[in-house]
Amino acid sequence: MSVVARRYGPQAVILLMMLFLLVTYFFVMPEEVMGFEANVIKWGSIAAGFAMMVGAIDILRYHIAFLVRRTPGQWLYSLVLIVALLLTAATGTIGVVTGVGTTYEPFAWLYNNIYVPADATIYSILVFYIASASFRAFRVRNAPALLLLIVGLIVMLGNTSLGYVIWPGFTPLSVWLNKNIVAAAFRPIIIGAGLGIIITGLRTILGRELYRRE
Amino acid sequence: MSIKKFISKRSVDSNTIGGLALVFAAGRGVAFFLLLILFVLGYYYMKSAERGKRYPIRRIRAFEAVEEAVGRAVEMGRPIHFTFGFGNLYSSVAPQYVAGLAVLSYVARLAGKYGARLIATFGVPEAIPIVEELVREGYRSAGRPELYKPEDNVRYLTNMQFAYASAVQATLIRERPGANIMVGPFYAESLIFAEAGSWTGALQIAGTARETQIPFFVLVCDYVFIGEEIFAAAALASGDPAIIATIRSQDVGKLIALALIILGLILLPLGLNLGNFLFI
Repeated sequence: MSVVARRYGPQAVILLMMLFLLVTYFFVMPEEVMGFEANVIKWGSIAAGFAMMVGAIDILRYHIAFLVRRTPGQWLYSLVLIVALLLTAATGTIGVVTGVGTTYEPFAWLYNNIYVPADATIYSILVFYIASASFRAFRVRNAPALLLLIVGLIVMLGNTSLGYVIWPGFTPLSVWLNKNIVAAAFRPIIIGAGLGIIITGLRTILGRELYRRE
Repeated sequence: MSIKKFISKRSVDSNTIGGLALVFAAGRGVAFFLLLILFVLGYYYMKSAERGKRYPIRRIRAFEAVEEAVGRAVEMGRPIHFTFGFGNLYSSVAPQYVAGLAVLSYVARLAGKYGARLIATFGVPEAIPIVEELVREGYRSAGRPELYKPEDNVRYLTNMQFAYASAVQATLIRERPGANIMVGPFYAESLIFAEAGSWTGALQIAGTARETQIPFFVLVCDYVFIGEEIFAAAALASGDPAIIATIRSQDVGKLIALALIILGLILLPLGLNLGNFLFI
């Protein structure tokens, strides 16, 4: 492939796709064009599906190396990961081939009894992290920190049944703080981020994002 | 037709006035023109920068701290960890991911310059070739291609959110990086990463435009890109004056937004809702 095709080919595809999607978003288009737009979005999902395969191969390559080298403190974990990956892929494929889909019993068992509890466990860890982060946030070292502590307490109590028992006014006060003070602080950030997204889009359309390999 | 009648009519039926209604999808006409203004301005500033004009950009402390963080990691003999958050490359958070990739490119160049070991972890399979290319190019452009080891530097983990969070957490604890840099679209995993990084004693630099996660980063990390600053950081990371100049159009956009807010506040007591007009 020539340097020109390698350099400008993908850029031309990105440019055409982005302009097409922008036009179909802003303007009223015939049904045929909107149908094509839906297909373009589906192509994205299909490409992402292939990328998943690349990802799985990448993970296998990475962990097989540990297994082959018997890397101390790692190879056993890598073995568990490889077995889990292959087992899930195999049961999932059988489910698809037999027409049962994701409800195929061995696949569903693996998902519901291993993946879901493990996923929930990691999510639950957040509770402890929030506690330790709150401890740092609520140390009163100056007047703004005191204000933060007071507002934080009101919002926390407003979100718990205990707060309602202590004083029913905590809940509406917490809602008012969120709707007015917090929203007012967040909106400029959201507007700024939106503008940043637009300009990043422009840079992408023009092929000026990331870096240019000369 | 008076302004008040015009606006109230638009708010009732946006497909009834003039030829515009036959062209623009309902509620997207004004947005299109605002987008067009920003695109034209961005292009203008980019071209004028290419002709040699320079625009002053305010200092972003978090960006300046990136080189310090890389140097600190090298001095400590520890690696640099970089991650993007649980976003993807095909939704509304994709630009944040792209901004993260641009910052990674800069970190990789610095890692090459100082001879540091960089570990980039992520959960988007589509990004594997891009991340590999950016890290390889970073070491190569610094004249240290021999330092690039894809199996060590580039680690795709998984595309499931908390499995990814768990793997990043484990990477931080095992590798004990001297610097932990996190830029991109972050969700509930943000605090898990930041706290794990804090335990290892890493200098932490983080940034996201997802407003719900910014407070967590501000609380735990040493330096933070707040909201749009990640896009400015992406432009600064390129080192290209033309790209940096596009930040100016963001500033003009902010002025337009501010003017619209003030105009809306003035019109509201007169019984006019500017919001109705903006969604023509």
